[in-house]
Amino acid sequence: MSALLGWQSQLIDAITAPEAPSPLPAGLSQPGLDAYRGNARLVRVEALLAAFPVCGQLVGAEFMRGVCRHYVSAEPAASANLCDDGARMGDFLAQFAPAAELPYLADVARFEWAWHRAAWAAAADCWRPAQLAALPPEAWADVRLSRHPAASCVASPWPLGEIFACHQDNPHGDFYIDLNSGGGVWLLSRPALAPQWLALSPGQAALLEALWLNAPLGDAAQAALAVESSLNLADSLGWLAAAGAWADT
Amino acid sequence: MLPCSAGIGLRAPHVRAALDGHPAIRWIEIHSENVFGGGPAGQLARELAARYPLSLHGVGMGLGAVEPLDAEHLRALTTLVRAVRPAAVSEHLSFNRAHGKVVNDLLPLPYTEECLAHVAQRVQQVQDALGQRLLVENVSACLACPDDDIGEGEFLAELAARTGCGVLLDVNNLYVNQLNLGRDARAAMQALPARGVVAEIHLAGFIRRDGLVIDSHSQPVCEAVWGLYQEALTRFGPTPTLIEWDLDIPPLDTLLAEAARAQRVLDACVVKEAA
Repeated sequence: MSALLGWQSQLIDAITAPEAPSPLPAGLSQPGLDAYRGNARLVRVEALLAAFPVCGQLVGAEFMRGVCRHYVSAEPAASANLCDDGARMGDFLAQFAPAAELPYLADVARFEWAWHRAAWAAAADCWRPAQLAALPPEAWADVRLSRHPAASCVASPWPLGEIFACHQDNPHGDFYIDLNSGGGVWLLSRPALAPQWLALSPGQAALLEALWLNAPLGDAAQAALAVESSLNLADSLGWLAAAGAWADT
Repeated sequence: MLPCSAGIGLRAPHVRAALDGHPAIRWIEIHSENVFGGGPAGQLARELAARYPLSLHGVGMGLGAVEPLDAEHLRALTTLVRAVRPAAVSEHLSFNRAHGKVVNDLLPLPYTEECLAHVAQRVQQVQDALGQRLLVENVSACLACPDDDIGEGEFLAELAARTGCGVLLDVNNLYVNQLNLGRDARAAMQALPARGVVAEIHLAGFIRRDGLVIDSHSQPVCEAVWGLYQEALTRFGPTPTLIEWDLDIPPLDTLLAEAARAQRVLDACVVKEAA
């Protein structure tokens, strides 16, 4: 191994290890290494707190800071861009015993992550159904569409849309959420500059999922009608496209 | 090109005031990664660029990492640069990953010939992608590689000579390294060419903790660094200067008062050069 790679590996390992190495490798001093170890964790915790503000409101700032500290210990940093950190927060909370009495918390985190990605994803033009008009109708069934980089879905037995809406900057007065009012599937996306979310019907969700899995439009339509026979395919396709579900590639 | 005046690092608490237009803000610097993507953040960068000369300052490229540059990161930066046409683009002389593990920090590189050759190749790669000159900033450090055999200033000077990159000289970082590592801040400045290389200067404040100086960007610029700044301008001539304040961010007026002090030093330097 080159001396350069040796230094980089040694320092990265010493910073990311659960405990500082003992004895210290040559060139590393205790206070210096501790400063890097502390900072590496702190910046990630701060970024996670910013990415999951609704979870923070639900459990309180201090508890959420503890959640983020545990997350940082359990999950390695995703990338050098702090905006990429937190993808596994939902799965993490689902098995985080201190949060067990809030069974919906993990799904709220998944919803917030989808919102966060919708805000930060790369720019891409949205696909519009008008583009079908350029093709002969008999070719429509073979059309495949690709997911817009800002779009993703979250499914949950909890009323996530309502929970999320009640914890935005300007909630409208008092609110009451019936946690047993049912769940659903939500599309989080960014049709223009701002992220948004929409509740989907079962057929719309099936249509979206099939197309995102690269099924041709004909097969996706059949899958959607199988779960919701009354689904208006043309309207749904137009509505999902306007929400920014697919990229114009 | 950045205006040869004192700007401020723009952080979240003062974004609204900056968008509304503030006559005392001469130019601004924002962290590139904070405005990546096609959403609200990218739009904010475009609005700010329409109003002020803008410097894009990267913290996540990890220029010196042996691992390949993150293609996604470079693509996002290239897209951003094309969209906002910044007056300057800068990154740090540091690394942030090895064998698949990432640390979100500016970790110090060894100052060796091996490292110099490697970083020069990476700087060239970034400049080729961006289609413009990159400014490379010296970092503060709490540790130094025992293999170091090139001075900090000499390393930066040679990097600039090999790649054509500029240097973003952080005078506070030189001073922090003098305190933490026993390096000589003045010697580092003397090792840099007097003209044509130092294209921007950073000033910031630090804290002391556990016998170390931590480059926290959470304090006013200390008097020793103001003194070094004066010496830097004497050597390099009038240079665009930025006040960085990233934690415990004060009211905008406090930030602008620091910038005004830098501006006075700059103005005096301009008068002296003209004489």
